[in-house]
Amino acid sequence: MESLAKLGIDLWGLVIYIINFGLLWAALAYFVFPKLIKAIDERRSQIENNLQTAEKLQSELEGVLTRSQQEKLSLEAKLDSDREALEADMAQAKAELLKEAELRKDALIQEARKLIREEKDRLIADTEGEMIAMMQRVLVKILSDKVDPADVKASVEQAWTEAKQEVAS
Amino acid sequence: MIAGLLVAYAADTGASSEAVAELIGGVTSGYTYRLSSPAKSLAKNFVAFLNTEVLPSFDALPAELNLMSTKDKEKVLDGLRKQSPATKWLAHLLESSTTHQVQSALSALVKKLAPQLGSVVVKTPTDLTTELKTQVRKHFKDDFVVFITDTSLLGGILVYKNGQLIDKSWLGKIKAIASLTK
Repeated sequence: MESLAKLGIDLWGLVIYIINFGLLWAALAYFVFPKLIKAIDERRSQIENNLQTAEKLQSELEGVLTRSQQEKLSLEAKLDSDREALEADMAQAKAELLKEAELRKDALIQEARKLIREEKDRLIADTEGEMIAMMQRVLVKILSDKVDPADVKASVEQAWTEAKQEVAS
Repeated sequence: MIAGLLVAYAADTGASSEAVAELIGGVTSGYTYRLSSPAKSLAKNFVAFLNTEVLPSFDALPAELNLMSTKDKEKVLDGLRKQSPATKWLAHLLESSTTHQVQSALSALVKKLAPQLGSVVVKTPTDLTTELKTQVRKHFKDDFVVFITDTSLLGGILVYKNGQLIDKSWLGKIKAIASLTK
């Protein structure tokens, strides 16, 4: 006891402290700790519930994400398919348009060639007709003006020799 | 006037005046197909005489007779008058008519006297020589031949015979060439 006193510790004070502490502990254990434990339990339970909800939500979210991903992939595939079909349709339409344009071009070229040929033939025929008429006039002019009368007489005799063989007497 | 040839021929051959009158009446009216036998015989002989006597004399006339002076023409016609009474009448006709007119009148007369005779027209760019005319008449001895000068033929000869055309003229050849190229 003296040793504790030398150290400055009052035994009785210590006992009183211990008793006070015990009383406080008992009061706390009786009044506060159960509520505190209950609150902690409730809190734990709530947290667990929340965690479970969160996990459930996460699981649902993952399902949604998976479905969404699948839908996305499906949509992408459909879009790709549609795009390819559209591209194929466009290519076919383009080919048909090109073919039609080619046919139309050929028809136009044929028509133009036909028109050119007809016009050319007409011009040639006109020119031929004019040339023949001109040659006829020139021949008649030359034969009527420039031919020796003796040649004309000879032609008459020659022509009579030919004609009398054709015509029956 | 052309009927004077017939009268001259009849007088020269001593044909009956009834036959001559009937024939002239037939020629004038155009009804020569109802003639009596003497008139028909006269017509036939007259046409033969035209072919054998008159037409050769006619063909022998110079081509430029219509262009000759009166003196030269009279000289030619005098030669014609001396051949026979019929050619004398022919010379009389040629005094007042061109050779073309006389030839046309003769052709019309022959058509009436002998409708069965064929008709031949020979066109040439220049007047034919007497020899060639004789050759042509000889060739068409069963037809009455008329010679026509047509300078537009340019050369050669063109013959119409009862609808048949033989075109050996230069103009015809030019036209044939032109038509070939069309």
